[in-house]
Amino acid sequence: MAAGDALLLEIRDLGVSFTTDDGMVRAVDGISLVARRGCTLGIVGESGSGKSVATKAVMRLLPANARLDEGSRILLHREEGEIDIAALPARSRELRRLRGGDIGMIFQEPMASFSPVYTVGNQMIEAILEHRDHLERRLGERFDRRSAREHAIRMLERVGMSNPRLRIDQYPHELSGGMRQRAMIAVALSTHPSLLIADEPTTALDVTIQAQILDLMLELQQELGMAMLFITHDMGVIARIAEEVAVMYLGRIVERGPTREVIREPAHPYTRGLLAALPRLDTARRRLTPVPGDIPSPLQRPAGCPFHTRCPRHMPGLCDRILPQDTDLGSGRSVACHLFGEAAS
Amino acid sequence: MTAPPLVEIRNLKVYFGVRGKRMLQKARGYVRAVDDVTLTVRRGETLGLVGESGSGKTTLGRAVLRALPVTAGGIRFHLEDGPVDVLALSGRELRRFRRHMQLIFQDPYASLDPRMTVRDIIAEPLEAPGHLRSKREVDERVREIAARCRLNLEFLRRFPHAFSGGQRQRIGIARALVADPEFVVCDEAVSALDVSIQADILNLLMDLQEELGTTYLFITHDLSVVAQISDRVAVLYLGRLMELGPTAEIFARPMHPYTRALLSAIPRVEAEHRFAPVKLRGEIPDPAHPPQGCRFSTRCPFARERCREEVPAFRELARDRFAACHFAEELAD
Repeated sequence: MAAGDALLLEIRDLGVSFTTDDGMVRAVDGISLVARRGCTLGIVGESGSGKSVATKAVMRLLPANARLDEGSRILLHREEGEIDIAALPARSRELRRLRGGDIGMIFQEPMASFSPVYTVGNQMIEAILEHRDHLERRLGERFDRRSAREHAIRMLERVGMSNPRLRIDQYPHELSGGMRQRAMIAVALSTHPSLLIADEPTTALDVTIQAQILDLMLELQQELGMAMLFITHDMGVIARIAEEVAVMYLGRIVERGPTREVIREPAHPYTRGLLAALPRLDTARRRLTPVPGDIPSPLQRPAGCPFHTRCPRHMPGLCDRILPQDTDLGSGRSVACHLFGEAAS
Repeated sequence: MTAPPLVEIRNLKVYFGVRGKRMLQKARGYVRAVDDVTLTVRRGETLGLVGESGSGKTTLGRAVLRALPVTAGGIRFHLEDGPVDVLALSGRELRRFRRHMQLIFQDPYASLDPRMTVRDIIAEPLEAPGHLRSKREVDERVREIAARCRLNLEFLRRFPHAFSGGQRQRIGIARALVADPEFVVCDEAVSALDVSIQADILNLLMDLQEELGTTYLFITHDLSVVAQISDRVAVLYLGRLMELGPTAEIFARPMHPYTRALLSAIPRVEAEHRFAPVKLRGEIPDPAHPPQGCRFSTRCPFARERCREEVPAFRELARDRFAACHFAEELAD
């Protein structure tokens, strides 16, 4: 854990709003979190939780109708100094260098990050050459076209692609779903990023392939020591891959802490509800315990605690009025709920 | 005591032609999407049908409903007034017969016509031949099933786009059940829903089954959902049945190496559960070029010479438990 304590990414008071035809949508409502080198922070949430928007904000990959709050800070602690990604101008060279350089990304749908008209190899070589300064700092090697190709082949081999010398000249559509996902991981890791952002990278995969990809990501993380932000709706996947978890609901982090502890003893009524609603393998034909009601429309954010409209322990007059702040529960855990706050006592 | 059969599927084959690269070229070969599947769905049960991509689970479900052409085999429905050979039905007979079977889709939004009111969407199956009812009777029936599906009756006058995923799936369920079908195929019916909503819909499906006695063929890739809702489970791989048996027994003691690998690969939240997936070699093969012998032999950690040569028979290994593996007995210990 010693090496893993190094702070890499620090998000402070991140807020993202969208202007839409139907009004203002507050997608991320002031979240703060940290990611450490060599560790994985899982972000779990359902539709409308803002988990994807929050991580796209880290790469500044938001659509034109999105706006970051003035006070948002996205601090990347690099070896060559700290940088606030939120403050970088939108089309700046620095941002382009960060994306795919210091920050690698993988998504649910690999076809979205590959161009269909270039071979896998071409795209990898371009990425490696684009980030050759960064790679020189990380690896002490300056790549040209030929050595970049060799590096790309090594990466494809590393992610378990059979016959990488053949695969490198194939087009993305010629690969199976699992292979494409491996290729995307190879692309993301070929620049040796210090932060890997993975947005539902295994959600579209079959369960036996998902197991292979999760194993691979854990191995590569150990090897390369990068920090990972892993976004998913699947608590089981979080349990497998993330040391720490942040649970999001309607744009806020409602609970966070070491994954094992949070799963064993969830504090927030939403986290409890989410875990209770999971179907289990060992209890056939048992009635499940759903979270009552529906996820509110993002256009109609409830006042006070965002979860109060569905919360079985909702305290009228308090939860529907006052937004609960984070309460420290000790051992790295915190929860944003009036049941635990000072207001409750 | 075993319930009597409702749907008997015998040696069912559904092959699709694969076209050549050039247009107008004749079929080059076949994808054996469903290849010699024999399976009985019992009256009043939920039979879970699980499989990964290319397993043929969706094709099997559609074929049973006569929603796509069957290449060979038999499908027999045992209705109260006698058995019906579903593949022999044509034209009007088939349209009349359709009221006995229904389909619930994955994406409730895509399956609901946005220009129809919720009432008209739910009522649609009642307009099929064989339902000679007055508007009043239809209205009454729609309200009854909507109430059973815990839909707010005020919603009936609205249009489907106004609803959340969970509500839309309730509309889809009400529509599927309005004509009181004996048999319902649920194809990934809860897969698009958030966990907190999914639990509610699974409960609803189980409650409705208890009240109405409906039989479900529940198709999904999600094994924990299958564990929750099914009485028995059938495991498909590349168009063939690998294993079939009571849910609790299969999950506690899978007999086929593929089932074992599949179950071990599910990431689980239970703290006592150590995640140790069976290492499977490689990818799921292309269904157009399935392996010789046992379809799973290219990825099976226990595969031997015989597995690559001879297709294993789907045999009863214990009471009510079937598997297609040459070495199931040996591997069980």
